[in-house]
Amino acid sequence: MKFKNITNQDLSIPDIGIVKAGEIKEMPEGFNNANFEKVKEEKTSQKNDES
Amino acid sequence: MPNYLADKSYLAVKPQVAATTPIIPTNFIPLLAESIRLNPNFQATRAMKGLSWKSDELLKGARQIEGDLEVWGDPDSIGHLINMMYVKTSTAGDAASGYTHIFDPGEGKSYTIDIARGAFAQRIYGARGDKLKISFDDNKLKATISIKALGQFNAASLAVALTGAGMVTAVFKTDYDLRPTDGLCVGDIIRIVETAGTTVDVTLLTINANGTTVTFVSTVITAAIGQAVFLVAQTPSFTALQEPFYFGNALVGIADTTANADTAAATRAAATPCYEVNAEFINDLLSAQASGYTGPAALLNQVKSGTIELTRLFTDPTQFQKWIENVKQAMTMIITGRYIKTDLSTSEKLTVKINKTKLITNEQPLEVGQYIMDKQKFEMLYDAGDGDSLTITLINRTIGTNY
Repeated sequence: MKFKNITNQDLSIPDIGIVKAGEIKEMPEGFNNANFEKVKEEKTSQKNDES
Repeated sequence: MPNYLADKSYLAVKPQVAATTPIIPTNFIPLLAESIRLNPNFQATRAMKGLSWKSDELLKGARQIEGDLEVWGDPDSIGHLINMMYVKTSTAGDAASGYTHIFDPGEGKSYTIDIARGAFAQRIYGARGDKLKISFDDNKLKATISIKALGQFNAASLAVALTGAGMVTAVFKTDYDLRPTDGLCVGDIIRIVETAGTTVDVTLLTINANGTTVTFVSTVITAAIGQAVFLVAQTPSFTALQEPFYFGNALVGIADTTANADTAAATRAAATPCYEVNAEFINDLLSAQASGYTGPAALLNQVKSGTIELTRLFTDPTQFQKWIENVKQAMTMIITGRYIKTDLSTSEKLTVKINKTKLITNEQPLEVGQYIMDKQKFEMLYDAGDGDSLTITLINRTIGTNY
């Protein structure tokens, strides 16, 4: 699951490292921090070749 | 079952908008020690009911939530502790030069505080500073705040069974409180135990006004009445933490007036060299009981006060004279930290200005092989001439809205 640092500060997270302000990063399962918000994955629509 | 090392715990704080409304804390502060405890005041009930044994039941008394938090006094973290004690009257400045926050005696903000205990968090809300002690431990500024709080959430249990697919609400038992969900916030993750070793985490969408029910997105959960519910700890995140203020960068000015004390504290040549110095600020919070609340309904400032303990090398009996003649001394302590602005024109700085102090005790104990010291205890007093008692000014990198 990807999360975005929604603060205006770089944040250091134990065992993950520094996540810059505004940066989106893949986080391990169970990640839970109110300075971050989940980034909804864009749905990839399968295009059919109609030609 | 897992075990947990305390070093992996954290302290997270955030000022609340309203004293009774918790908020998920987002400011993580390295924690040295804590002793915050919930005390439901259980007592063995005594009644004549045909028993020769003392009691067959415990009953709750008035609830208390209080204790100490101990942290290094770094320029950003100590601002939150001061903000729990006193009112922030203004903030000026910017990120490049640093923000100057001014605190005066007044009603401090109520805070939500999370303390992680293993994988779980204890959520304390409506917390305010009762006492703040600043001292130096091997050169480093240490701050210890004694807090009192209105409520807490840590664990609950299900009052209604969850029965599989499509579960969207959980109702908590009311044995602890008629409003067991108080303390939880929208966005919190709670862990519901299905069976021993099997749990489901859900993110809260709403906390119902009835104080017993929370909602979450439709989830498959099977859990019987009485199964436990916990608040899941956050993954901590830290900003670029600054070093604590150092005793080596502290200057103490003591003089007849505030202006002269400020001048004395401005330079090492004019400052009073101190061997040890610590200060205690006291709010003497009243835990105001009220019908409708098992714990305090509000935490009210009573009479504010403070003391300073200071040790310095004895040079002459001047301080003895000031003590016995009850002479006013104004005191300003300035502790300078790291530079903030790139041209080194602004620095982190903690300035404690006490308009009037007088000596309660002043001793020069003699010990073989030891230099003679003035060991002093000052009472912080209100100065009628200045119309003020104390002002704390903090310059740091934290934007004013964080306080």
